[in-house]
This record gives sequence, C-alpha cells and structure tokens, in this order.
Amino acid sequence: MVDIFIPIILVALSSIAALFSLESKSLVYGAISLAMFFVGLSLFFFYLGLPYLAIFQLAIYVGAIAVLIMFTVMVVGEGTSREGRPRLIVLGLLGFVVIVSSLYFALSYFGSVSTTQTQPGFSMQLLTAALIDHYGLLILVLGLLLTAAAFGAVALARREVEES
Amino acid sequence: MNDLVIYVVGSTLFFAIGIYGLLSKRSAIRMLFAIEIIINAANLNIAAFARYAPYDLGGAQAIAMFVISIAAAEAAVGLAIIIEAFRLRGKVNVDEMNEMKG
Repeated sequence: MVDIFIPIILVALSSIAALFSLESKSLVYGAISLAMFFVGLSLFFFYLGLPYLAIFQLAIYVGAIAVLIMFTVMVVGEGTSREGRPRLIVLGLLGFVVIVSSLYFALSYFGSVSTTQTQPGFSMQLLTAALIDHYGLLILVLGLLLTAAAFGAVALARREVEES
Repeated sequence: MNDLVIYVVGSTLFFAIGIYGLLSKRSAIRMLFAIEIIINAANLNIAAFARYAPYDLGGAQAIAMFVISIAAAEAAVGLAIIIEAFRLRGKVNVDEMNEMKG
C-alpha cells in the first residue's frame, strides 16, 4: 500500500514545485522551486530503480542548470512581467483532463505491457552495453553538439570590447 | 490504480503545467522554466515505460541521459540569448522582441 502512496506524494510535491516556479512573485524563489522540481524528478528515478539516471539528473539539472539559471536571474534581475492569460488556464485544464482520460483508457487496454510488474533491478552492464555498443556514435555526436553549444553560448554572452 | 498509470498521469500533469507556463508567461526566463518542465515530463515518461517494459533497461536509460544532456545545451544557449536580449533592451519580455517580424 505504501508503494502506491510514495509516487502519488512525489507527483503532488513536484507539481506544487513546478507550479510555484512559474507563479512565484520572485524569480529567485521560482528558480529555487524549479531546482526542487528537478530534485523531485531524481527521487522518481531513484524510486523507479534507476539510480544512475537519478544521479545524472541531480548532477546536470540541480548542479549545473539550476545554478546557471540562478546566476542569470541575478544578472537580469527580477523583472516585472507577470501578466498571465487566465482564459488559457481553463483551456489547459480541459486539455489535461482529455489527455489523462485517454491515456488511462489506452493503458487499460494495453495488453502487451504489464503495468504492475517491474523488471529486476538496475544493471550497470546493460546500460554500459547500450551506451557503447548501440549509441557509441551518438555519444560522439552529442559531445560535438555540447561543445558547439558551449562555444555558441560564450559567443552570445560575451561583451564586445570596443577598440580604441 | 496501478503504478505505471501514476507515473504517466504525473508526467502528463508536469507536461500540462509546462505548456501552461509556455503559453501564459511572457518573461523569457519563465518560458525557459516551462520548457525545462516539459523536457523533464518527457524524461519521466521514458524512464517509467523503460522500467515496466518487458525488455531492455539500458537503451531507454541511455536515451534519457541524452535528453538530459541536450536539455543542458539548450538551457546554456537559451540563457545566453536571454542575457544578450537583456543587454540590448533592458528587459526580457518576449512580446517586445519583434524586430524580425515581417
């Protein structure tokens, strides 16, 4: 019984963190709340039995992206644009109900996937074999992409020095 | 209610929150928050289905790691664009960035 409640509580807490990150008055508190959302997602991964992915999520999102966002908020400042579009909330809620109900019915009739039985525990061998055997070239491309993104970000953000 | 349904509903909820933020907020930083929430919702979906699928745990985890890496690159470039936009105009409201409008 407890096994069912833990993911439900995680969903609730992560949703609150995600909503607060969008709706908080202060951008700094919003960034902190977004970091809490990332922590909640990593707890999901831990709970699903995927510890390597959870650590990866913590290292990249909480350790890098959240800190980067915090620094950007400090540079840019709080800002004043908080205007929302309240009518979209009703439309969004309606869309959410439609998607969730259709997903529920789809999963109910999904015969080939067991929705209650998980696989046996995490295997580092499987992950390593997948990364090296099947996705080796993709990792190289990803490395090039990350390098290009780093150069692009530096080129965009650097301040031009005026030649005198 | 079984376990996978909880994860899928949670993932859909996060996705809906992200779409709401993307559509309703005009601050570029809030929109970046919303994009990150959407990417994380997709990642949770991948991980949950990988855990409950009857085969291959490693491949889906590898794909989730690739998604996280690309999201990191996207966030870095996005934040650099935000800083540049702030430097040019003093605010980061996307409604006012319309120089490329035809």
